[in-house]
Amino acid sequence: MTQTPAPAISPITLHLLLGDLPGLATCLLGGGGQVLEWTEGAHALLGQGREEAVGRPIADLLRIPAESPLPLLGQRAETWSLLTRRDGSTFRAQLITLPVPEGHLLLMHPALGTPQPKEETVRELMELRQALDESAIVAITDAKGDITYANDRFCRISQYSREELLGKNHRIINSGYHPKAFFTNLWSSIARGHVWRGEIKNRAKDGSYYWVDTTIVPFLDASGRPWQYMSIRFEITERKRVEEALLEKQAELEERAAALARSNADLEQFAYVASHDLQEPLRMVSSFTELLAKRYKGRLDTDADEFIDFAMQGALRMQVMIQDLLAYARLSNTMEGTQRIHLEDALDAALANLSLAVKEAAPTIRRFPLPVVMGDLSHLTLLYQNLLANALKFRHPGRPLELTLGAEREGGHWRCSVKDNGIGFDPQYAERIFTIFQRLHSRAEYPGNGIGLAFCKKIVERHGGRIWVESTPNQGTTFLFTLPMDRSPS
Amino acid sequence: MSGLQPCEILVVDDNPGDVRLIQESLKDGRVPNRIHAARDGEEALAFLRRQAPFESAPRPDLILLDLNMPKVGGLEVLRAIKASPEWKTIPTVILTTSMGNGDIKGCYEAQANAYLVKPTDLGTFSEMLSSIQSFWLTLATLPVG
Repeated sequence: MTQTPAPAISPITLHLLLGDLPGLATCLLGGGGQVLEWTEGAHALLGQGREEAVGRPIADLLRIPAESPLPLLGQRAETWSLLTRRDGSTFRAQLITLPVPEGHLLLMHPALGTPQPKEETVRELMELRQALDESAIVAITDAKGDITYANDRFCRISQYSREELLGKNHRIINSGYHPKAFFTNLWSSIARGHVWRGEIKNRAKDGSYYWVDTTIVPFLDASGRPWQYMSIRFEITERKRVEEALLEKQAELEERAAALARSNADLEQFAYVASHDLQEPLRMVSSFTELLAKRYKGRLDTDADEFIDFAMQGALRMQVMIQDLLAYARLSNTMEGTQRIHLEDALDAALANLSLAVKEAAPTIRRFPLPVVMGDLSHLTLLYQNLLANALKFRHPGRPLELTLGAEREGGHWRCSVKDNGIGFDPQYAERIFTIFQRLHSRAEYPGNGIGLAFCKKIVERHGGRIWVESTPNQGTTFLFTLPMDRSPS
Repeated sequence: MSGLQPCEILVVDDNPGDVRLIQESLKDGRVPNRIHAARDGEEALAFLRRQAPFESAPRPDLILLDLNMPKVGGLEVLRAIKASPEWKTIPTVILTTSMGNGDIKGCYEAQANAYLVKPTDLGTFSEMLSSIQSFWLTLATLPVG
């Protein structure tokens, strides 16, 4: 029988000594990791008694996760691992193994800063998690982004089973919609320990997409480095769909408005060029028919005189129409920027310009106060002038003309009105009368070219307003138009 | 101006109708006149230089010049006239349909004697021509030679 030399301190003694230190669990392990000796400290910290522990593999006993195996390397080693108590609760602990002749001495102590939670705290946490799981899509990943936890909602929305998700990298649901920089920013933020919040488009297993409002919370270890991330998400697919539809609609509207503006500009340019160029040959027609009339009237026969007369009338009317068309086309170019103007000034100027016709018709004019608006004075004068000229022209032959002029505040604008008691017209023509060269009466009944109200419409629309008309035959007509309110500080 | 010698008026216009209207308007004028027509700027310069077929062309007493013409335009002709020591004293009146301020300014800068826009109706047109004639050929005193 050979004697082995005794060590300076018996490992058992050491083990027993350390076993009495508070907050420290120690045990002696055999070469295969089975428990040989179990201390009171271990009992206190972990709940398992000596009888229960001795003889069992330590990894089984404490349910040490496979990815953090206990270092039993025949030398001093350290690791961190999640340990499970007898009651099933877990905690992170630092593990140190020291080789001793009998096997390995294992020292376990809870991670600093993570005091052992009380039972109520644990329950409270469990309840909170349950509440979170009920309302949100929850996933937890490790530091590399591999999924370690997925709640039912996550499984449902992503259409993956929990088994399919666990251990997979979170990229499994990447939709490819966001640029690479988006995720680079996300990662650089959370890796530094910052909470990240944003909207992400993900792809479910069947290839369909869903949007989530996402908050990612990094969990930090004792050294401040994230060791896992929890993402809490809410589905916003429907909202996003509506938003996208709105954006699409808006872009479409903008495109259409731009196209309309282009075509309007083209049309004005066309009208200008056409009418200007038409004037030249027309001048020849009218001048030479006039010359014909001057020189040969009464020297041919009555037919010839009549024909020449028709030709002259036609040429003259066309000249007026071309000039009107030119003026109409030029209207938008002559609009100076809008400024604060008193609408009373526009009305006064219009009445002054029409003084002869006003004198002839001798109307009773009832004027209510008119506001200050944002507009172009010369154009608004023209507007009133055309509306008033209209009322003067179409007055009722059987009664004196009454005019009522006013303005009312309506929402963000002024609604102005010009009311008469004239001959009125069938309301079915209410739209048509604003069209250029459209007339409701023959030239013999009432002279005119059908340009005045087209001017009015263009002027009002150029001011961002709208014009319309209400009329009853034989009763009278009311023209109404809106103008933007003065928004400048007075 | 001598009543015996007719005034020589050069009308530069690509529209024969306008030339005819000017002729008709000046026909009954108080000042006897002779109208010479050039259909574009090139012809107008040939007329002034007495180049073929205008070898026997007289020196005009008045030039009525349209602006928009093929080949050499009115403004170029005006500049050529006002750059020439021989021609620059000839009253040169612009008679055009253009109301563009750029045209108006350009012509006065090039020393046009007047800028007139052709009226659209015959009556006014005739009156304008009579006025031109009476002002430049009767009222205004011009250098001799």
